[in-house]
Amino acid sequence: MEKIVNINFLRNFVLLSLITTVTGCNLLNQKDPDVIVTTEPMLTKSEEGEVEKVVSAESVNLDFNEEKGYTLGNNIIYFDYDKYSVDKDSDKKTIKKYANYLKDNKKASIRIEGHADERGSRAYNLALGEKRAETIKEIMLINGVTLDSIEVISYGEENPASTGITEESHSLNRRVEIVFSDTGK
Amino acid sequence: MIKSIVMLFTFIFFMISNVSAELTIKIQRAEIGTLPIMISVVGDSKSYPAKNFSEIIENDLYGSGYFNILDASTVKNSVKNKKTQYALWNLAGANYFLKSEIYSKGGSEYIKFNLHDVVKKEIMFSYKIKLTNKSNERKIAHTISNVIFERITGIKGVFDTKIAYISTEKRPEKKIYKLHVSDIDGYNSVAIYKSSKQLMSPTWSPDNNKIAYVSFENNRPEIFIQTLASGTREKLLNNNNSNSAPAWSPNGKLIAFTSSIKGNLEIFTYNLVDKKVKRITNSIGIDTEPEWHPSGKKIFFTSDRSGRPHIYSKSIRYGKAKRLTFDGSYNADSNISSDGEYLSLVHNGGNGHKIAIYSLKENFLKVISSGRLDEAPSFAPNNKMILFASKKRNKGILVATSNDGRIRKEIELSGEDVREPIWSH
Repeated sequence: MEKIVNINFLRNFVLLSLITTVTGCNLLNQKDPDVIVTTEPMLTKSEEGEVEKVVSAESVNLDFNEEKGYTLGNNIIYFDYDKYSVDKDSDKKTIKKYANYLKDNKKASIRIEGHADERGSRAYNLALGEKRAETIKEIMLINGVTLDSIEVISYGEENPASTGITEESHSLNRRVEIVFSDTGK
Repeated sequence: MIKSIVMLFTFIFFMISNVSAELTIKIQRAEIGTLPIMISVVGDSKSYPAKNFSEIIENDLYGSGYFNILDASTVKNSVKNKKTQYALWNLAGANYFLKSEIYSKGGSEYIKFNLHDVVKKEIMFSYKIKLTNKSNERKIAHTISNVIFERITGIKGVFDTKIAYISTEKRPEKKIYKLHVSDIDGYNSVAIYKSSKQLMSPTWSPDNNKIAYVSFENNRPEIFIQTLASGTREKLLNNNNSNSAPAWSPNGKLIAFTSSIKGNLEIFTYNLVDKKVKRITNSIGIDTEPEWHPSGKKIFFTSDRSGRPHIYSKSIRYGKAKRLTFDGSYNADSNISSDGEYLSLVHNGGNGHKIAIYSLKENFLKVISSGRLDEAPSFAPNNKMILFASKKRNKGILVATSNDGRIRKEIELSGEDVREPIWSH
């Protein structure tokens, strides 16, 4: 099963690369706009349609970790100082992975735990942690997850991942952790 | 030339739980423009050592920044001839002299105290207080400090008021959170609620009889109201939301708080009389940390609607929010002075999070602390001091400072982190 997935993935990857190259050439030449119009939908279609299946297949593998319990690989999303937007594609993939799992396993439920670093006021940091968790909840809802399978909680600055006072420690503490309340299995 | 004097007092004090913790109070201040005073308390009784009273009064007055304490034992204080007595005190450099005595009469004990104006050579006031209960010793001394302070400076004394704060004690395998109420010098501390889950955001009711705070005992932030005298606890809202940052309205009828709606954090009010919830703010992002204007008609709050946290004000009935702070990249957690003229807040102007005072009349912001992780400011009821939380050697301490930063008092609790202090009304 895994092998098939991998082959599929490889095939798609090659296909995607080819299309990208073709598109890229046309973009550079700027001579024949029609080609761009016809290839672009194909590109998005194959990217969405095929790559998601791979992600969804991967997501079935639950990892068990003494501290974190069950996860789907990475379960932490980091944020910039005083920010709560999710910009990185890798983070969006992590969220989608959980969203897909929840859609496939109707009995499963998660807790989205928001955190902030220690700088600034505690009540504001509690709000910041909640807003970070809410942002991820919103992305999951957009991706078709039902409201009752998500619980959001903020701990503010109270449960740091790192107790240091350097920027590196602070950046590790500005995070959201996705935790299974129930894996549905 | 500003000269700093550091006084260090260390005492052992016993908390309700019988676990002894060491309380350290450090007073640091600039030695300018202060009034020289001598405090003399004589006549020990069995239960009331005179030394205790004089020490407490001296610490109160010294720590206020308005007084210089001169050693009363260097002068003869029982000279019969009044003229000679005033001349001696004057020669010793005192402008004021508190002459106090503990004595027994008819089976009861009393403390009487006369305050002398050494320059005018007259008694400013004369009082006596009946001593009935050992536990009131500090309260009585603080009351005497108040009378002296008010009569000489014309400013309301706050030595007998209270503070509330949160502390954490790390025990093996777990952390204990405590909500404390204590005197403003850190003594008479009582942990009014303890929990293995996070406690935060204590706030006093206008009559100082209750405290509202946030507890995570049900694994999410919820607001509780605790009556101090009875210890009765009551959950404010019975819903499944996270509710935080409570603030009591000046008339005591409403509690403003933060809760999320459709992914945004907004400010609401809860009416303690008719139990109705009303939404106050409406914006994308974070609105939190409500603080009431003394009129009860508008609130101040922290919002990141401009991209960064800043302080805004808004009527609780209608209209738009108005942005107040523009300096720096971070302004949050405002606390208003009782005259409604100033906000104390957490400010970052690029050099860490410090305490600043913002003048609502002149739209002027002034930084008054020097830490990098200072937070949770609150005004003393007379608006002359500001209490806040700071870090020292990576440990939470409480700091009280005068508006001009001239006086700085640190309160440290051994083995415990202290934070989120709030001065009573």
